[in-house]
Amino acid sequence: MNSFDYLSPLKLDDALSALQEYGPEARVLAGGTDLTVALRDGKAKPRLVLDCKRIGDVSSGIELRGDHLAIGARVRMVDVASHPDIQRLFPALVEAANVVGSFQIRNRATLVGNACNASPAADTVPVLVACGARLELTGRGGRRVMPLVDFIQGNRKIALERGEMVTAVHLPRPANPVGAAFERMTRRRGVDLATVNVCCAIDDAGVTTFAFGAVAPKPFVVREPGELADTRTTASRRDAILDALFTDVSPITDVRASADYRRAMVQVLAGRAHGRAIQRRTAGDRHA
Amino acid sequence: MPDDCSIALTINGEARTLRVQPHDVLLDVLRDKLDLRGPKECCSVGECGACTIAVDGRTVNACLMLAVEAAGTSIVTIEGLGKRGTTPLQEAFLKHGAVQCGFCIPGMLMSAQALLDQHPDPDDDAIREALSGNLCRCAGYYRMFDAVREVARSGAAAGTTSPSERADDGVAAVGDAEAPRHEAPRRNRDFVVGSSVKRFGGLERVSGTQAFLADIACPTCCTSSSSRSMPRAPG
Repeated sequence: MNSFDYLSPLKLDDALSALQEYGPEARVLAGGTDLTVALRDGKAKPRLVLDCKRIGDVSSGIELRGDHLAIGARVRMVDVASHPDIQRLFPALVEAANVVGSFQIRNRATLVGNACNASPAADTVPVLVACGARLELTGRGGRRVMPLVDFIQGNRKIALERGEMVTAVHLPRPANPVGAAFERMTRRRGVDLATVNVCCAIDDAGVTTFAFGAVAPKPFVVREPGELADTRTTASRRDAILDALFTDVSPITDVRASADYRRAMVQVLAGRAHGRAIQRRTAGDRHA
Repeated sequence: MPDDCSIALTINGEARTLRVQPHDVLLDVLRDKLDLRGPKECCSVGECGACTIAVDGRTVNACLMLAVEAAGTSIVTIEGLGKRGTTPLQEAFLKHGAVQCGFCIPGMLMSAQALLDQHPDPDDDAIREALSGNLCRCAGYYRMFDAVREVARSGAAAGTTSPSERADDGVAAVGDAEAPRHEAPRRNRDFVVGSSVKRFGGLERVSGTQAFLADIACPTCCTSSSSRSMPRAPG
């Protein structure tokens, strides 16, 4: 492994100063489950590795703040999956967080790290995108908030400016539990990267959003204005809508699947995710 | 050249202060500096689980952690699991024949113990899920599931068996008193047909002391490696 400087600051100001100084030669270390592999392979050759796990003013918690749920940059997958507010409001995020890597990975990997790694196959990203997640980016000049779907610019490309780090992810707090479900296709059930994954989320206004992973360099998002959310829509009409929705998808062939297989699975997984999202939404309405 | 870092941590109950480089991987430090060679290096990308250790009570892949990240933590490796003897889980692995080549066993035991510590009565799905981050090249998964299940049902996940208490007749001293046991014939201990025998070398494999090739330190040896490229057809 190449050598690098290591900093584990206790204060966010110190972290931001170092990030400003080192610029693109700095990498932020959270759980390290992706970065350590890249460091060993030589795919990442930073001069500075900045460990964010001890920064007191970067949250390691999940809290309801006004109109959104804030998940701090130090929050691990295991914390996401076991948190009562996330289980209640965003069960699809629990489903996705629970299939990231293995127990060992989920005990280290962070939700924000999964987003910042910007792997097209990331499991939590489709759920976050479909639920309208925004990232809180902090630099020495202040904070800005950016939709995750814009933050991810392509395969491993993110819109982080010099001297900035992602300090939290914000999920808009829904009036009712989001009718959302996560589905994925893998070659084996456990500890595998997704061949295709998708989150279907139906919001309070009845708009259905599909966000797919692993079919494009960045999340592939499609919206339907209302018919899919209507429980009176017939099954055949639903299938016709789903058939017409994803014609623009153009996945690649790689070690995990061919483009044709991926295109077919887009339809299959969308149908499954939508079916469960509708069920959840109906159940949520009954509780409301 | 970046400076060395001094880190203080607890390893298998013992307070240690170590000097490490920022780019030292925790697994390498455990194995090469501290001579704790129970955690194995295999895939080095967090897929195989052979390097599984517990950090502050949670299992992690030691190959994916920098040593500097371990500052202030408490680490348990397979060497610390049965420090005062073998645990019921280690005994059950031996009893059920879950130990074959033994390479995955240190990591597998760490994952299984973490499951039992957090969920004393896991169902079969939970057992499979808990071990899904650990690969066994001998594919001995079912016997491991049986071993974990037995310990869970006996309620004996904690505690250890001291070497003097351990049955050495091929039958583990752990488990449900109701469970049928195949007693080895006592008069002729070499006569083992019809009885379960513990794997030869099994104790070393569940305690992490069995040396595999990469575990053999030979400071005076000269080592070499060769790499070959595959011939490719033109065009």
